[in-house]
Amino acid sequence: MRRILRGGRVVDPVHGVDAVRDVHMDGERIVPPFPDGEAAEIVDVSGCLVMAAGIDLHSHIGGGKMVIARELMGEDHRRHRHAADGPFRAGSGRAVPSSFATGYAYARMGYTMAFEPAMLPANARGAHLEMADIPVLDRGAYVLLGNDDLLLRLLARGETTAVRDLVAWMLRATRAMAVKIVNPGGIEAFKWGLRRIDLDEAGPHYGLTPRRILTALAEAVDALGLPHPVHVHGLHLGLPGSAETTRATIAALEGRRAHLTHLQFHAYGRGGPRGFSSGAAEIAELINRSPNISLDVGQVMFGTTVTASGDTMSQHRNAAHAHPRRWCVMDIECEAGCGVVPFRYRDRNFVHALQWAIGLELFLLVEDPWRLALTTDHPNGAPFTAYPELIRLLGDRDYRNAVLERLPAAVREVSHLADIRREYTLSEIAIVTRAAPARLLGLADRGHLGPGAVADVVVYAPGPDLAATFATPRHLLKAGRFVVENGALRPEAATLRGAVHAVEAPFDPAIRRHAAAFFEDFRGLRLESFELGDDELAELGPLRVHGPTAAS
Amino acid sequence: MNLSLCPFCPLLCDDVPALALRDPAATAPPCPRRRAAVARLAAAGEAVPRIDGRPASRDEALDRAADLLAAARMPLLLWAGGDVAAARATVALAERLRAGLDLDRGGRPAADAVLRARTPLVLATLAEVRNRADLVLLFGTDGTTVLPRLLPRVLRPSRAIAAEHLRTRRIVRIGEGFAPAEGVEDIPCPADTLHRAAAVLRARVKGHRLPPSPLAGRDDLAALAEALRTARYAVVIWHAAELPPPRAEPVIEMLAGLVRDLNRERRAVALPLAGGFGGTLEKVALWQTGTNVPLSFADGAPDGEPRRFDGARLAAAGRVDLRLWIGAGVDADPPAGPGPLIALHHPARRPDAAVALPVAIPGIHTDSTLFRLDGVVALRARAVTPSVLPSAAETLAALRRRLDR
Repeated sequence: MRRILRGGRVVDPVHGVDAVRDVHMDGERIVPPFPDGEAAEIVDVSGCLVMAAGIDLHSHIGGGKMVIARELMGEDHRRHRHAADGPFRAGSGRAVPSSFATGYAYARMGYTMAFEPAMLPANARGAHLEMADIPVLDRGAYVLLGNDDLLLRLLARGETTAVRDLVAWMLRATRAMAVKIVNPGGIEAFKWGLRRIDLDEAGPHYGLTPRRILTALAEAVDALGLPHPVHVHGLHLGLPGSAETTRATIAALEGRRAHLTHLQFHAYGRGGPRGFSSGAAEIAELINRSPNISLDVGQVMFGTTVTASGDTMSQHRNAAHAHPRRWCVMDIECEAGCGVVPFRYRDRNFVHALQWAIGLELFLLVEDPWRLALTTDHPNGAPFTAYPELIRLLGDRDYRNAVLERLPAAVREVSHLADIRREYTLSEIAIVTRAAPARLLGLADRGHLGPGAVADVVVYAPGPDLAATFATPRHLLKAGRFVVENGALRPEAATLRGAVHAVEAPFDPAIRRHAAAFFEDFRGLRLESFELGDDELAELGPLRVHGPTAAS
Repeated sequence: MNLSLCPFCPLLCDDVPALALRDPAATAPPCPRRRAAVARLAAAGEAVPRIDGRPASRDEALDRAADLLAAARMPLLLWAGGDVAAARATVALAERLRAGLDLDRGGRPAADAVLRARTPLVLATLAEVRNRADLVLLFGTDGTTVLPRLLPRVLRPSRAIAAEHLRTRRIVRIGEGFAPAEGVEDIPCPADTLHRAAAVLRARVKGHRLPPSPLAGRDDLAALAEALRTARYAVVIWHAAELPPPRAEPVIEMLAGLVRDLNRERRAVALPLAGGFGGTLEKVALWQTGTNVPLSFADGAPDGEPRRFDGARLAAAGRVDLRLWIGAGVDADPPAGPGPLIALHHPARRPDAAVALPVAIPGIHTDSTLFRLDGVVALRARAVTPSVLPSAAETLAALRRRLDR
């Protein structure tokens, strides 16, 4: 069906557009302009903002740790329950909404894609099944490597070619979109009883340093030509002094591509009277002159949430701060682990308030929005439903300073936030919420409104309050079809199933034989049981396979 | 040899010979549960739907079941077993009916689920236990009655990543009535004092002084506490269904605390066992509704509160007027209870039900995804023999369609 969105203010930074113009679509794609007479429908969106639909490149939307998180958040789920409504399924939860509710909430916010950033290989089947119950969203997952005994054994033997093959085979076996590394070597070290590991400290069993593991994976991802660089959750999450570790990590990458995720949690200094300070300025400055580095922030917003991570070493330490006092830490399948800790960020707490300020400092001091993605590391910093409020903080300096005024005075003494004049423009907002995530993931036909793009388009009715504007779009189209129309989810959205996005890269089949021997010797599992079958994938929805970009 | 995945218990062994129904004895591995399950398959014959015990066509039986469901005011869905597809259909039907939903735990309370939602836990999956344990404590269970191949598949493998831990690995059972097992140490303890033994162990590990008591004075428990305290990777295993019901929760809570305490200095993990596929429903219920079972859709929205919506308790209190029992692949009968019963059952069974609907066995008759007992690993068991029986998921969907008509 040919359709024209008429007269909106189109904000499409990929094409340098911020102007009133029409958007033409034919079927599921954006197309060059055609005469009005050929349109089956012309939708008047004059006075509205028109953007490509939102893309979340780091949001924990599926997998075992989210199942555990829901189990630990009983009060939140009892407080936020909703019944089925026509075709829309019942559900519950604010911090970690149930699967159907997750899809509805993202769609209501104008998003059509989200990526689960920490899928354990052993949990790939479960994670994909869970994400298949999230309506509307196209989705994908990053496979967690770098603490798994299979890879570490190969690396310890210096078999870097085999490591590369292993990465490519793992992507295929688990149908993943990218490679994630969490606390390189740290999760494995935790299983041997270590509580902290430094960048150049040899691991307890394989003698590998985190530096060696991280660079090996960065190299493997680059050699395979994967669109998204290695997605790095660094060492020392949440520790005072983590900013220093982050700087050393960037240096260790020696110019290799890497995406540093939820960097807010890795941007803490040891300064100030309380030994906890912002390292955001130094890190932003380093990132500004490191074009190989991209990041997402993992902004903290005040309220109750739950932290969930593969980083058992950090989460076991954070468990002391659990609110309410319950948590779960799990060693998983000689691959990694998970740690789930309910948490409440309080605006009267100095540390929490400074975390909030540090995240905003990163947003505002990193100059190139094309290397930055807007995230709260859902649900770790806050649920993804906080994005509109976060957008307002970025785009409205008076509002930001008004919130800052309410925070403990000690925060204003150690944070430069009040001095930062920058306000995100609408183009910059569009970059960090769709254009940059699409580019960072190598999704050439997403995140923009040029001809050939998938017609995932959102229409906002702008008002004085940016949060209100971005919280309740007027229309959302996915692949050229209305999902939200005049502010309401259409009934078809209830059963609309998005695609699974995955990457493939070639590998030497010998790696399967090697992996099979490891699996049978140590995991007690045949490789055929582990690998996702094509028959299973067919049940998950359409599959979109992305190939390598120019391999280096 | 053609190997397949065994869907008969949540250990989900994948090293078993592909099933040959004509000659089950020749192909069954050394597992009594599998052997028995395979024998029952061969004996199942041609199961037919029944209404009040009389054979009926499937359509008649579904119509009758839908009529009963439509008339019920306080229906309870009881899950005894099934695959992910059945779990999805079960949650959808419970939502549609505004029903209660719980596991069939044989009348026992939801001890593990209650604890998980309340108590900090340090856990591990099977491969971690297999590769890292240097001390395994089976608390109140021998492990093998419920999961016959637990020892060779998990606790006593031939190789491990932590080879030194495996070389020095001790397996200790505490409880009573265990069949002797080679290389396994036993500490006798009557079932009704297990909670005290757990408390003594935890107190000793923490270095607390104990008031004098028979258990506090026992050298074997003191030695075990010392072994736990010095273990590099201790694994504490329990099976809630084998603990005496009134004490199950306190025992598990104490053991969870013991494991947590051990992690202050060293590493230790807990591994709760399960005998069936309740976990598969729990996972699906949690991701689809945000709430674990037992839960209720009475007001339309999922509401989970373990004690309030405990299925057995509701049934005993007469607050249930119809039960729908989902036992795909479960070679057992539904429990007695109030109101008419609709049973989705194993084809070798003839449950006494208002409507009995035999359904395919997951992983035997249908391709099925099942969660292993450690909850993280889901595996696909592929059909090994065709069946005319519909799956539980298809049956539940057919009921839902009839209700929507």
